[in-house]
Amino acid sequence: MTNSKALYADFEREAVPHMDALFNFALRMTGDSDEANDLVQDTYLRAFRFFDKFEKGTNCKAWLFRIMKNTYINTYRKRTKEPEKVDYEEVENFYENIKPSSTDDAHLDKEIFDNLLDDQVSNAISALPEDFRTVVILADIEGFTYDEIADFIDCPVGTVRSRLHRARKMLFAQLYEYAGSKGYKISTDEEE
Amino acid sequence: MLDKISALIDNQLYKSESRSEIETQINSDPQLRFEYEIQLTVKNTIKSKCHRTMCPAALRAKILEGIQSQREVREPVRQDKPSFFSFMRRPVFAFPSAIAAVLVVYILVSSALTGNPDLPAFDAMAQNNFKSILEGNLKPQMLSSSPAVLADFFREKGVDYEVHLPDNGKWDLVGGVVSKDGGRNLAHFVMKSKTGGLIYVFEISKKYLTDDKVLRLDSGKLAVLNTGNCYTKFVDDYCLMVTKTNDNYIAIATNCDPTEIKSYFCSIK
Repeated sequence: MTNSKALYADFEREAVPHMDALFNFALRMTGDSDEANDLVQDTYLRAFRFFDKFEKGTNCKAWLFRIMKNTYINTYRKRTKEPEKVDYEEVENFYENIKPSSTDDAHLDKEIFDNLLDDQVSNAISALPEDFRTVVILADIEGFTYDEIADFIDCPVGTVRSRLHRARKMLFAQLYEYAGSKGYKISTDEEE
Repeated sequence: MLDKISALIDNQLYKSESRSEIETQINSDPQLRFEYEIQLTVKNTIKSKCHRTMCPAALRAKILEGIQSQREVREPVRQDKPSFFSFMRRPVFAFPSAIAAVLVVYILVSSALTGNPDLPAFDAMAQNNFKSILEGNLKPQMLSSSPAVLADFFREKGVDYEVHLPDNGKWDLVGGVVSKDGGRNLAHFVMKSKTGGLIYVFEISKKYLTDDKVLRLDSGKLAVLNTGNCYTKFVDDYCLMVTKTNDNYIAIATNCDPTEIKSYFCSIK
């Protein structure tokens, strides 16, 4: 087998299976299917170009995501229109209003979230500020470990933890609002 | 403590952290319990409601085709072509200081036609010219870093269409050349990146491909352009891109990172 053939065979085996994950991430980061198409295409062409530099046996998915991140930062983020984002201050105020006052109140009617539409959850994720959206997608959709996410975002694991925690709180506030708009209400024992 | 709740749910606690200790704390504090419920609820909701969007089959095919074409050109070209870095070490490529203004493009392009009944391919010409630049056989007729000066030069030399000369501070213009094909005057220009890479641009009026048939571009590449995309091919140490604007076709060959270049040229209307 020639070098080129062997390289292509390795690439096909190691990198190509992650195309769905990269496309999904690209779509969620750009919010636009054309941009996502270009981003994934550019990522893969660059990845193949530099595949001889990829250290065999290491995490190819994480390597591809890093290439995508750099491509995204250099090109796509500049021209992607960001939708209006959730304000964390508002989220904190929201929590002050709904948090329980005693152990007995500390429960959530989780079933109301079951009635949310898939699109509503996706929209809530899209509305997160980019730093928070990134960690949620990587942790909760792509199943990255905190170490992998830390490597991806170039931050300590502690930052990943706190961002993820805050991101989920922001999402909760947003989803709570959607649930409210559908007529559902989260109750505490105090209200019952 | 709040950060530990996420880590507990995701099974990502540090080795030094005790799971049971954190669980005890959560169960004894209503605020922590509430935080825990929120984190868990949101995680489960995302898991059950957010499904991965699959990569469209057409995109997958396009990417694999692009990779395949990169692969095909990799080995044969690598064997007989000097690398970009060896080219950069050659003093002949100190463009700003180059005074010689010999028109070689004209000769190259014309000789490509001689004895050949087929029309020259637009993208192949761009590739050949770029290689000639790398090999020191092609120098600008007009040396200037001013877009206005080069635009005047193209007009004076009979280029009868608008040439898109970047003026965005990202790249420095080096100079331009006008070649002649089928009685038409065609514009070429060269830029330098801040890191010393080279960007060669060959821009022609659309009608020279579609109506006048001075040059050709194969149907596969045209199809890529007609879908609004840039045709991109990596050849060893450089990248070839072909794009179209409302009025022109542009071929770019560069040994710089093509991302920004593509972004610029492929968004010209």
